[in-house]
Amino acid sequence: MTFKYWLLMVLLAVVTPLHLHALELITDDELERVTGQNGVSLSGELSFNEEGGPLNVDPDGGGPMTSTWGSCTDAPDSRCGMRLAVQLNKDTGSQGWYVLDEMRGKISFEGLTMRSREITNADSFGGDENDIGDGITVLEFGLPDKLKFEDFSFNVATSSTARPTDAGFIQQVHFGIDFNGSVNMQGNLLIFPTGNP
Amino acid sequence: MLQRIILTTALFSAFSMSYAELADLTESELSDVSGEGIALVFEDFQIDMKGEVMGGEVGNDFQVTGIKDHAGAVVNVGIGQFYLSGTGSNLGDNLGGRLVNLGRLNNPITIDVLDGNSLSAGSGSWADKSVLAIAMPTHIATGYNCTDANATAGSGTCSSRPHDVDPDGFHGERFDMGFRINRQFSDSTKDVNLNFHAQSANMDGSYLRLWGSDDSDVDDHAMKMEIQMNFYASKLVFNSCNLDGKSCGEQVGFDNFSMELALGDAKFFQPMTLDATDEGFLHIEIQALPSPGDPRVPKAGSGAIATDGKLAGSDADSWNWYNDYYANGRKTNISISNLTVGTESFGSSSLTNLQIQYLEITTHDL
Repeated sequence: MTFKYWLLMVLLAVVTPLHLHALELITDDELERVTGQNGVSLSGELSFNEEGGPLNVDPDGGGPMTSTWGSCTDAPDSRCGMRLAVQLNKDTGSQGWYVLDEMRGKISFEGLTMRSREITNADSFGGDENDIGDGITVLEFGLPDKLKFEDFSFNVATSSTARPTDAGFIQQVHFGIDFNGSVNMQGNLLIFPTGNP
Repeated sequence: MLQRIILTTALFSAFSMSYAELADLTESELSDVSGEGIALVFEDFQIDMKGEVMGGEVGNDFQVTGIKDHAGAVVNVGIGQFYLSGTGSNLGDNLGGRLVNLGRLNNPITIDVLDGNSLSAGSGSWADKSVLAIAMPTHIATGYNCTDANATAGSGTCSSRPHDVDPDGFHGERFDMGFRINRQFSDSTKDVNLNFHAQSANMDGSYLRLWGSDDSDVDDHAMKMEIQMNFYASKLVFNSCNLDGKSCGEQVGFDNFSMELALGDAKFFQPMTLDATDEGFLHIEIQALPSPGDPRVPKAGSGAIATDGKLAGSDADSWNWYNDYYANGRKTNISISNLTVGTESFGSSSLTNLQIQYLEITTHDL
């Protein structure tokens, strides 16, 4: 055992009982002057397959599809990006899938804040702040000033199978989006339980 | 080293001090605790998305893809602008400081799980089911006229208040919203700009209810839903301009626009279902109203309805059930107090008490 640990144990043995005796309750007056920091500020970036990813390609055009790693430009005729397929029926009836397909690109934001906030009479909700009783606490998200999209795209489709590699795959793409640029936002989103807030 | 010692000391003391403060909840305290849904209020909100072509930031380009013309050429559909702001935005031109609250503290937007049995007294498509509900603020007894931009308290049933009810930094709950869309074809002489704007609008009373299914009701096993889509606006404006949003033509205006769209009626076994066919096509259905004699329709005897449709000669329980459907079933209403084209006025029009008994939509390949 090193000298440092010896010292620590000795100090603990001496200091602990002494300090316990010295601790006192904080009075209400003193406690009122103590403040805690409330809230966090977040910046973030979500990117989907921006640098490519796993691709299903058909090397000789005669099937079957095989998986490979590459950028989206490596497989112009293939699908590239995230796919989310949901089947809204089961067992009987039609068996198709709703699909968000080929989602790729980047979304970034700056200055999303989160804190707890007490609604008081000083707030301005057209009188509702008095109606709901004094001092309810809500979770407040301060929305980011700008939401930036870079080559963010996806397609909305319906499909016969969950995966493009499944037998009998047919897909009907209804529409898609391709966003580049900034969306401006202002304001707060307040979240609280329903019932009596 | 000193930090660790202080931490250890603090831990010792904290344990010994706080232990005695824990107490059991009594039965009566515990019975006051209930599971709740989530309430949302957007405060001082505005969103604005503007393409470079309409004067937005350099590089802004928001495209809707996957749309082709009859010859298969890609049609370039650009969202020139989308905005949702406080009122007085002058069709999206003047957004500075135009903020809006969506939802009220005492009547917020809600996401909740409801008891299907309490929604229609234990009968209907959602009996014994949990129903996920997403709802806008509700209608209230003493509210505001839904479409009047200067409505005062007590003039209607909408809970969302117009601007200027309280000038103390409060913006009201009614919003201006608009889309400006450019469609560019391979033949650029056919390019079209189309704009849609709503002024002093609200969606009070709208909801989306979703629930699952089993063999107990309709035999289609798709996800079920009931939708109430309300949209009220003091004015809807449609017009067309150059692709940069300037030099606009005459406006087509709908004054005091009120739409209450009822899709699906779970109480009478008519949920709306949404699924995809085996071939991957979109399939939307509002289930057919059950026929007389159907096991889901209450009946005293045979369940038959007389050929003249009158109560005399019909099964009374079944007849009353159908009578309830026509009297109290969910109905769609759309009304406009005045249709204007440029400076011409074409008067009012309305569509009321529309009930959908059966609807099926399936897309097909061309």
